[in-house]
Amino acid sequence: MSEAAPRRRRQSAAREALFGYALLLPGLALLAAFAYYPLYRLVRFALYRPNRFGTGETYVGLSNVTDVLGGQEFRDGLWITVKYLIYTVPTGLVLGLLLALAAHRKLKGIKVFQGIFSSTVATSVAVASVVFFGLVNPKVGKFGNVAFIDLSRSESALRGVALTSIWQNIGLTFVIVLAGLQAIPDQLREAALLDGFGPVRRLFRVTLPLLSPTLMFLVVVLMIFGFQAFAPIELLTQGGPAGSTETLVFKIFRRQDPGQISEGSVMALGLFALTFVVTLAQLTILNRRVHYGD
Amino acid sequence: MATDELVDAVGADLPRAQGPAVAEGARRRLVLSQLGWYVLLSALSLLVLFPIWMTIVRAVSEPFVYIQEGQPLYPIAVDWGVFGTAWADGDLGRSLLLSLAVTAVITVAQVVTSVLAAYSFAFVRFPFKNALFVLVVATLLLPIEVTLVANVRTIRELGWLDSVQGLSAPFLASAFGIFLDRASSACRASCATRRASTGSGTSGS
Repeated sequence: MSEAAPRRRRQSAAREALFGYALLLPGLALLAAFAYYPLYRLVRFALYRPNRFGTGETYVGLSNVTDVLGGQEFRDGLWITVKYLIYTVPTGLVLGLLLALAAHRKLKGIKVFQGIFSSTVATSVAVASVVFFGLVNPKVGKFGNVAFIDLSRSESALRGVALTSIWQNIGLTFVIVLAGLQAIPDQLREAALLDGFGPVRRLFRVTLPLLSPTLMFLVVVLMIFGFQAFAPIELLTQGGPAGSTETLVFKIFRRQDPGQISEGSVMALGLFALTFVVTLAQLTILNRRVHYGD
Repeated sequence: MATDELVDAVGADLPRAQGPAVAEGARRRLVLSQLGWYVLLSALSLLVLFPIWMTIVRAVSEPFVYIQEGQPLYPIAVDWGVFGTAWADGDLGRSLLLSLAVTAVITVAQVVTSVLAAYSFAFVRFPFKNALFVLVVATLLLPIEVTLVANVRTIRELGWLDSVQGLSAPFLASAFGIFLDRASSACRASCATRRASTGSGTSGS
C-alpha cells in the first residue's frame, strides 16, 4: 500500500462529511428560523421579564426559573399532563395494534377496511375536537352525561378530552403498525408455523418482537403528542372545570401577555426539558433492547 | 402434531396429501374463518367511523327537533341545505383553495427537506451526526403553541402576514418527516436483501 492512501482516505472522508452537511442544510436552516429562534426567545423571556408596556425588561435571573418550576402551577400542570399520557398512550397503541393485526391478512376487499381504519389520519386535531364536541359536550352531546367521560365534573373531564386524542391517533398508529407488519418477511412466519407455533405464540414470540422498533417509535410519538395536547382542551373544556384539564401546554399558551410571558416561558422550557429527557431515555434504553431483526 | 393446524392456517395453498375429506373440511373452515374476519372487520369499521357518522347526523338534522327526539343515531328532519349555507357563510371556497395551496407548498418542501436530511443521517458518515440528529428530533418536542408567538412575529417582520408563504413557512421542514424517513431507510438498508429474495406481500400475522 502506498503512503498516499491514508491521506486519500482522509480526503474522501472529509468530502463525504461535507456532502452530509450539505444535505442537512435546507432542513436545519428552516428549523433554525422557526424552532431554534423561538426557543432562544423562550430562554430570554425566562431570564428577563418585560415590563407591562413591552418597552424595557429587567433581569430576573435563574431564581425566576426555580420559582416557577418548583411552584404549584407547574406541578399541577405536570400531573395533569402525565394523567393525559396515561389515558392516551397505552390505549392508542393497543387499539392501533389490534386494528392492524385484524386488517393485515389476505381477504378480498381488505383495502376498504384498511382505508377506513386509517381514515382518522385525514382529520386534523381541530376537526376531531369538533366531532367529539358533538358527542361528549355536557349540554348537547349524545354522551354528555356518561359519568366516565363527563366534561362537567373535574374527576372525569380529562378522560372525555383524552377520548378525542385516542380516536384521532388511531389512524396514524394503525398505518404505522400495518407498515411494520408488512415489512416482516413471510418466511419467518412460515418457519414459526412449521415449528408448530400457534397463533398466540406466533404473535408474542415472532410478530411483536419484530415489530418492536415500530412500537417504540409509536410510543415516542404518542407521548410527544400527549405532552403537546392543546386543541381538544381549548375546544372542549377551556381548561375547566376548576382547572382540572389545564395541561402544561394549556397553561403556557394562556401566559403570553407581557405580565405573564416570563412565567409562561419558564414553564415552556421546563416542559421542553422534560419531554427531551423522557424521549432521549426512551430512545437510548429501548434502542438497545428492541429487536431490529438483523 | 399440527398438520391440521397447518392446513388450517395455510389453507388452500397447501398440497392436499391428506386426501379429499380433510381438504374439504379445511376449505370449509377457511371460508368460515374468512366470514368471521369480515364480521369483525365490519364491526371495527363501524366503531371507528361512528364519531364521523354522528357528526353527519347532527349536521343534517334540524337542531331543535333532533335534541327534542333525544338525539337518535339516525338523521331526522333532514335539511340538506346546511351544506350550501355553510359553504356560503364560511366562504369555504376561498378557504379550501388557500388550504390547498398551503398544503401543496408544505408537502413538497417537507418531502424534499426530509428526504435530503434523512438520507444524510442514514447513509452518509460525518462528525457530530448523533448530536445533530438529537438537535433535529428535539424540535419535535416544541409544541406549536409554544413557538407560535415568536413565529408570528418573524412572519410579520418578513411582511408575510395573511399570505400563503406566511402560513407555510414555519412548517417547511419537519423533524417528524426526517425521523420517520431515517427510520425506514435504515430498515430498508438491512431488510432489502432479505425482501429481494422472497418478494414482499401481505399475509396473516
